Amino acid sequence: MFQFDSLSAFIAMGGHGPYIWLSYLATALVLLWLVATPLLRTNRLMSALKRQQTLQHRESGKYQDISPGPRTEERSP
Amino acid sequence: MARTRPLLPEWFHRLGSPKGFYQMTSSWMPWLAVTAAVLLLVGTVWGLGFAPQDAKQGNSFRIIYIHVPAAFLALAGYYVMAAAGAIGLVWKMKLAHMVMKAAAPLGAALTLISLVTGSLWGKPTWGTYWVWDARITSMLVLFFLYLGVIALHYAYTNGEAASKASAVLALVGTANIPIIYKSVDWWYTLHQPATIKLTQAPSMHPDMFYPLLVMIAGFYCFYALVLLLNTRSEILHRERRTRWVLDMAEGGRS
Repeated sequence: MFQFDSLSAFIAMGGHGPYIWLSYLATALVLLWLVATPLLRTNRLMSALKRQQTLQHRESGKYQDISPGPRTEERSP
Repeated sequence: MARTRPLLPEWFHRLGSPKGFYQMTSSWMPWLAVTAAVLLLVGTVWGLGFAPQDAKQGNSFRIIYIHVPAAFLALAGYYVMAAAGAIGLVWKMKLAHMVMKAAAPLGAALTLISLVTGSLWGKPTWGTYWVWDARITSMLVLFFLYLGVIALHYAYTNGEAASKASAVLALVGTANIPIIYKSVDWWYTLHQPATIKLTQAPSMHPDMFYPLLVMIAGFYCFYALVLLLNTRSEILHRERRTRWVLDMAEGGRS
């Protein structure tokens, strides 16, 4: 059964509200940070690797592609 | 002649290789994430709104639902880190070093949570945010041990030397763990004795105890989730020049 008569009583927590809510808020922030850091780190690595590979493909393309094809879109003066 | 059977099952060898470990754990991640989220959510709502208030402490005791699970996992996580360090030292297993590195920031964060929530609980209950008593001081030492392991990883440019040094520090620091457990029995302290003991019935009313169990289970799942996330990220970083990682980067996320 819900222990509080009203929403304001729930927030006040019999005078202990600030301590309780601050504890839960701080914990939530730390837990979110723990999940976010490895995900962001992995994303950063994967997009860097992808960029690097695209560059490499383009580089090798320059030397292999000797036919006068439509490869002039790269840079406009 | 009898056919020779492999000494260890195939999945064990897959676990030992970073690539095998990465691929094997991929399918676990969504399950762990959902289980952890549901348990933590249910436990929080139950503990904050539906558990009866404590006769002596009033509502401030509701902090127990994060304080105790966080402290629990901060200690259990130290064993994980030290055991991974020992395995890495003895068998030169790369994956074990990665697990050890993954466990350090996670353990530090959980120790910090238990210190901060303990302090916020102490103010309305003991009248002070901080006392230099045995339990709290030994938890602070645990926090610095975790920070030390993290710092050693940054102190060396050579990855192998870093792993060795932090594994040794982690193993030496294990001496602190029984001190933390026993501190409430050995010394006079403000901190209350353990709520849950394996050998006895809990000293809590079931209405208060069940949400605590849910939260502990939730923190366990969360711990496993983040340990895997960190380890998998570390695997990709260390193997970033190998074909399988490059293929994965090109093929999109996985």
